Amino acid sequence: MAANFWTSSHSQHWLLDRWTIVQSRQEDLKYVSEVDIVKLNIWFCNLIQKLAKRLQLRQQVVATAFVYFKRFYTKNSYRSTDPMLVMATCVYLACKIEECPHHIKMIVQETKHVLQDIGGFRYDSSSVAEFEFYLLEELEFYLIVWHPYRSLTHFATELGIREAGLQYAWFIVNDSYRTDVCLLYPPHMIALAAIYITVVLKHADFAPGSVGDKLDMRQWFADLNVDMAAIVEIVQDILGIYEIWGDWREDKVIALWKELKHRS
Amino acid sequence: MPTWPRYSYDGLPTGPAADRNNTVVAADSQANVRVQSDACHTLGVDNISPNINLNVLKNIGYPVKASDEPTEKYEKIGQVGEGTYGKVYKARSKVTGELVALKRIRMESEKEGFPITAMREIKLLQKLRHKRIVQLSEIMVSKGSVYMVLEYMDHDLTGVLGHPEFRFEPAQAKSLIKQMLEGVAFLHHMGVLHRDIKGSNLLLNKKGELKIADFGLARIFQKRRTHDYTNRVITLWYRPPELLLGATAYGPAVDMWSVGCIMLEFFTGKPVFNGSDEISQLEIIYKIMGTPDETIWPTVVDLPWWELMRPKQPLPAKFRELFARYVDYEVLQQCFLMSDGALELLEALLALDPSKRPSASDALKFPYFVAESLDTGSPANLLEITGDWHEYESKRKRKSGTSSALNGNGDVKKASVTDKR
Repeated sequence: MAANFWTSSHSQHWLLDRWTIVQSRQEDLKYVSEVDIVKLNIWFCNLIQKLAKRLQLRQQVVATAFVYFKRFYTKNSYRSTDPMLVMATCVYLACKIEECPHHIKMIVQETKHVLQDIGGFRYDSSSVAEFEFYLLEELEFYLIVWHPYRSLTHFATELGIREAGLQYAWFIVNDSYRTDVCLLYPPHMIALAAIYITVVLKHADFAPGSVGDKLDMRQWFADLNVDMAAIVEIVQDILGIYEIWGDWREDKVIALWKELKHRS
Repeated sequence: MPTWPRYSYDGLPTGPAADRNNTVVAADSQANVRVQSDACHTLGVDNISPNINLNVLKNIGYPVKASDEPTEKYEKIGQVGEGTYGKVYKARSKVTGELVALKRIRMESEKEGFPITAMREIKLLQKLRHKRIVQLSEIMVSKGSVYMVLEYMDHDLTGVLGHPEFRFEPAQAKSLIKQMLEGVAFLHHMGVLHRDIKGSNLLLNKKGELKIADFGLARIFQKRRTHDYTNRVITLWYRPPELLLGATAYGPAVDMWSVGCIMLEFFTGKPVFNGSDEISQLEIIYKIMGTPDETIWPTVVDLPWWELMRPKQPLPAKFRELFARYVDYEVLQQCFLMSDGALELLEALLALDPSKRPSASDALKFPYFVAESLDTGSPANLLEITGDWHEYESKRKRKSGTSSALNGNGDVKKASVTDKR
């Protein structure tokens, strides 16, 4: 639907600052380190992705589920809630909002499958239905989420980035959901950061004679009249997650999760 | 260095918003600071209705917040409607004294969680900010139900048309038809199909303003793409022939038919195509607008139920004959001469072939609006109607014995909540 990002609820109610996010983690930070929380974030995103894959959801739907999950945890701690229930409910809600609804039983069944080797899923449909209500409340009923994908495709076409380069930038956007940038910056800024990384790492394969081929990319970014400092911050956040992701192992994170959950 | 055109697309800042990249973030910081002590709340039984299983929330330690109770903020005055998924109340804000409509969304007995129709409505209303669309001011949560807080409108069109004494002057009718088209043009511009345009969803206030309400059946459509939608939408009397013939790929033209029906109702004072089921509905349409065939509607033969509902004998269009000089023998004061412009627009809107109906923005350019001399002032004499006139109240008044020549409403079962399309 044609509309303006700046008038959206995403822009007006759900662009947060770093301080708010740090505040929301105080409870969990009593038990684990900041890096540990990042590792847990990666884990939960992976689980959402797995569940989405079983349900064959489009990337946009998965991304909406990621954002709901992250928004919920800006107001709650991992320790005092059950992220598995939150996760399943976020996927359920995202399916409804993105107009590809799945039956609640199906969501529960597939969540059970994804979690079968890591503690299982002890809820039924009615718990998810009930929890959806509280999730909606925490999201303040602002349900439309804007994603970088559309801007990314737009920029890539404009610049003349070929398929492989667009694919690379697309994956960077997918990975950006493991960081907090979707809570902090407008989606087109994240798309630009993904293009920036793609260009700097020389994966942007411009079609001969295209804008990107002819123009100095530094000049292109300068002419956009966007806050370059913000783009650099997004780039740093994304590169930061790759560093942690490098030696990330699921078994270690499960141990970490148990520690956070049970330490008194 | 070549001058490079400033980037613009609908998400990127251009113009005044250009420097908002970060200021937005800063301005928001305070509002989002949460009082952490909320997390210490234990579950008070008072906060939750008995039909909610307390265990789930206890298990995950979900903190129940002491959120605003709608009953503390608003004082209910009375029921004014019955929506797709719950009751609508008139209420007054205890803080500002302002009147609002509270639309309650029932949460009980919903196996599939929060009703998707309500979710669509909320999602759409948050996006549709326009003077011809009823505005959603907030959402309140209370004991297992959710209330949408909407701006209050004194009447709905069905209620006013059902008023025993009140009749619209032609200029007032024109103003309201124009406002209805402006609203529909905005919706279609935003890529939204309303799919339930009827009198009780067109709200009026005493200033003579008209606003479109109830987006429970509305859907987003993509321009230039046909879709597989459900044809079980739009209240029977306002449903276009293509839906009655089973079309599942359709567009804004379905709303334009409903708009045509409403426009006609302004003149006749009551619904004209008032069938009792799909088949009789189609028969009544054929009787007035004529039967379709391949010459006037080339694609009609491709519709799923065409063979099944094929007209037995061809009928000519009698529309002009019937409505150019209209006398209602049941309600004798209801007779009029329809202007050429009005007849022309109505015939266009009520074209059997959806591709021949004008878009809402084209309809606004018809001679009826731009050439005919009648001034389209707001119907200020709505001020003189005492009381609130909604379909809900008129129905109740009729039930209590003061039955008139007016018909009941042709509500039929709507698309089910779990309908994926």
